Amino acid sequence: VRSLILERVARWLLPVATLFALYLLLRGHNQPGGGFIAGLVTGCAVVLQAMAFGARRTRRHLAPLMRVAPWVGVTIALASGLVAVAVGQPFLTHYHQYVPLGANRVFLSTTLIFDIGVYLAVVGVAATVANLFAEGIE
Amino acid sequence: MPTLTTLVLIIGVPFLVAALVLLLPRAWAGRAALLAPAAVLVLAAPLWPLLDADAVQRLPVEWFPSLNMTADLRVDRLGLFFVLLIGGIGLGIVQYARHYLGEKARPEFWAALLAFMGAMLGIVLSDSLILLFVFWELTTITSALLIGMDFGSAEARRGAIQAFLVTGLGGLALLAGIVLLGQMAGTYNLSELAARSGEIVADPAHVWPLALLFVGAFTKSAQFPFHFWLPGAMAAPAPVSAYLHSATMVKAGVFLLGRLFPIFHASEYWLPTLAVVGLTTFLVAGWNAVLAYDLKQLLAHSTVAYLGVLTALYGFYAVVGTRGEVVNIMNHALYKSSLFLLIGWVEKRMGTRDLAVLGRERWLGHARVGAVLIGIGAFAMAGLPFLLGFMAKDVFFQAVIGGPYVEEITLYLGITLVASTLATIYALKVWAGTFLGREAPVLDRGYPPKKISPWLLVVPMVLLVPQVIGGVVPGWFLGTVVEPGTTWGPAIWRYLDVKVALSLGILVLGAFGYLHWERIARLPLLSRLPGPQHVSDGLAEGALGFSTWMSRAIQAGGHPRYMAVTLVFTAAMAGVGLWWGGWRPADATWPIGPELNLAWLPTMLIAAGALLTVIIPGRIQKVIMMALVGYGMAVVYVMYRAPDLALTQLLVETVSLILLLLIFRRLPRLSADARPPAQRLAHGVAAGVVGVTMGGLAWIAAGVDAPQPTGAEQAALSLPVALGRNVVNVILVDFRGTDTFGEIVVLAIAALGALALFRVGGAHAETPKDGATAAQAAGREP
Repeated sequence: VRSLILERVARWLLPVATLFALYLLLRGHNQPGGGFIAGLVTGCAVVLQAMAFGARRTRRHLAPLMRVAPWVGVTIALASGLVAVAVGQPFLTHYHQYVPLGANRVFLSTTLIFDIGVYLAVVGVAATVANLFAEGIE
Repeated sequence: MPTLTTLVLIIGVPFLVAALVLLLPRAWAGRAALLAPAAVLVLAAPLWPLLDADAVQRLPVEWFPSLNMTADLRVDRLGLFFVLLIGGIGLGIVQYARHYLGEKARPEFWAALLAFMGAMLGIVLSDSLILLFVFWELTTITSALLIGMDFGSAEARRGAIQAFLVTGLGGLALLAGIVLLGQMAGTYNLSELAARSGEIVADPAHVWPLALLFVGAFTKSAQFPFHFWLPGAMAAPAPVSAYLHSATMVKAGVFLLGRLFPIFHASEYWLPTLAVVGLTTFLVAGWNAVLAYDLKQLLAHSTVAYLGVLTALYGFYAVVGTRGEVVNIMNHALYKSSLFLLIGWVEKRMGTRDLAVLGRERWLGHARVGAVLIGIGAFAMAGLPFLLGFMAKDVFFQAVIGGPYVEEITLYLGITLVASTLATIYALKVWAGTFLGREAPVLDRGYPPKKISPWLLVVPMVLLVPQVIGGVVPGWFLGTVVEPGTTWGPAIWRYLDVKVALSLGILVLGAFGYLHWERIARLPLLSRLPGPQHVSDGLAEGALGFSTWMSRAIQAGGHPRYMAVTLVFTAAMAGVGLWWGGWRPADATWPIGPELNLAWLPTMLIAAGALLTVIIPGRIQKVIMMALVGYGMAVVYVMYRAPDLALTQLLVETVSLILLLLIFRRLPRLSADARPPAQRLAHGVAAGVVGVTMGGLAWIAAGVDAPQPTGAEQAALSLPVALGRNVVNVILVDFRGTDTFGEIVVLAIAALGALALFRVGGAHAETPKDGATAAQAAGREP
């Protein structure tokens, strides 16, 4: 069943939801949010795509996301933990730094890299599984 | 002196090359694979002269200090010797496999082989038992992959699964043994354990870890009664068998005994257990080898027999010391790997490895080089003078006799003599049975059948060189190169001592036995002995029967039964735990304080949702009602000022609602309840008990003040240590990062599993929809 309204909304919602997810991801260190929640938000948006345009088309468009994202995510998280190992600290020891940027300062941390890994893994898995079950909707 | 970097490189390079090989085009994969063993040799060989006989250099690596676990590496004579063996024979194996398998060698094959090599190197260089165990399990997995590389063949799959089950089970025993030992001694490091040897052995409880560690070693090294998996693993191609069953896999068990020796050598159980198990294996496997007609099966049984010798040897070392352990391991690794490789050549050349067929082909004149090489290998197996095998046998006899002279004919010596005679018989059978045909050759076969790469002979030839050198000039080769500091007698006896007399007597007896073995085997008493197939089939049937009984007992009935059993068990455990912990119903407090009166609203919502889930008919409706419960929970979280939890709950609820709806869409309507009243009552009671217990638990938890709440500590640490204000997220990504990492790995694997299941299920489900006939469906690619 195709619905014009649903398609229009879904089309606009994907970038908006992704932006919102990124916002949640970045603020996670100090305010509610984080990689897991952000991943679920994007996952919901992808499910909506599958409902609106059909699973097959969504899979075609977002195939790289679904097939690769979980493993890219795991690799990124692993890499963020190995940074510490390289300098002789235990696995997943994190480093934090305030970097001055103009008048302000930016907080940088390896936890953010780790969280990006978590985000990608959750998005990939949620999208893959949801899309599998949405198969045959069209 | 060796540095940590060197050791890490030795272990790491094979894994790195294994990953690299997967990315390379097929034509380059084999060549690249040569790099790994070559690099290992280059790194390890210069270390050999640097190590004294008893020197152990420990290189600490921090791992989990809070759990008393380290990833310490170590390097000593035995370990480095194994490194050179694994690298040296590995180099030969890779070169041989490139020419033996040719186009059939997939990149995955090379990756599995190299990963296996890396895991073996890890075992021999670990000081931490935990690290050793990790590598041990890696060899189990990679060796199963190698044995079953030919997925299409049912025999290969069965062999791989059998090997995996037996060695995997042994791995569990090993883990239990390691943990017990670590708990007893307070350390997991081999060198520290060896230093506390007296203390450990003085405690009578040391028998438990020792028994479990023995089971681990015996399963890996195919000792009686676990000896049946090794002949089953012979479905692997020749180079894999040669590698796994000569220098590596099965030697890991023997190597473990070598590592345990300094810890447990004073134990009263050490000698009797190892001597009895080892010699029994020697005898049983030797008998099986004499009966075998398939050359490769014969070699498999003879491998088991020699592993029995090595096991027994470690038992007797408690009396005579470790002189000659290296010689025996080296002797076996060299002649057995080259014989396996040569059998691979025979199979290519003649198209068979069945002695019954080969015995009719008089092909000695057409294959002189191969005949000489197989001869050297077989005579080393029999322990003929001027070969390393003779020296090895000499050491073994010395260990069994317990000194330079025989004081009494013990049971051990008796078994050794009989089993050694059997070894001579099957060694002769390998050579004479292959080349000395008794009947006229079959003429229409035509020679040579096809072009065979000369490397199939060159590699075993190189491997046999030390056999000859070590046999001709043992004083120099063994005393200076292999085991500096030990002295060895001349290649052939200066005087006739008792060991030499025994050795010669056995050779004569064996030769006689070979000439008449068919008649001996048909003796009424012997023919009724349980053969190899008997024992292995019996064990396999036993295992099958046990697993059937287990699955009947646990997995009877459908989903409701599993749910009921699991949940009632959980609830019962919770109740027992509560009572045990001293909680009494009088302790219950009112869970909701006056400041949270508003919480009644979401509570009503949750209760209504739960009630409606039970009452309402129809699956979709029930799922939506369940979501109501979840959303109610999210509201509660908001009230308790847990925004992260609330957000997560909302999103998880939404995603799972959609998923459930998508799945339930495909299911048929719920039919009328067909359960008999008794069953409905039982299900109802089970559900009630579980619900009340879990609800009660939550209630009680709300009223209990934990003596040491960890939350406060983490909240206090969050900002100063991790520079984050959101404690939940800081715990997820920083304090408990390893947990989260494990979770996303599980997630990714789950997605992979769902994908695979869906593909399989989809292939079946689509057939009727398309209206295709079964034949069409079967012919179509999934």
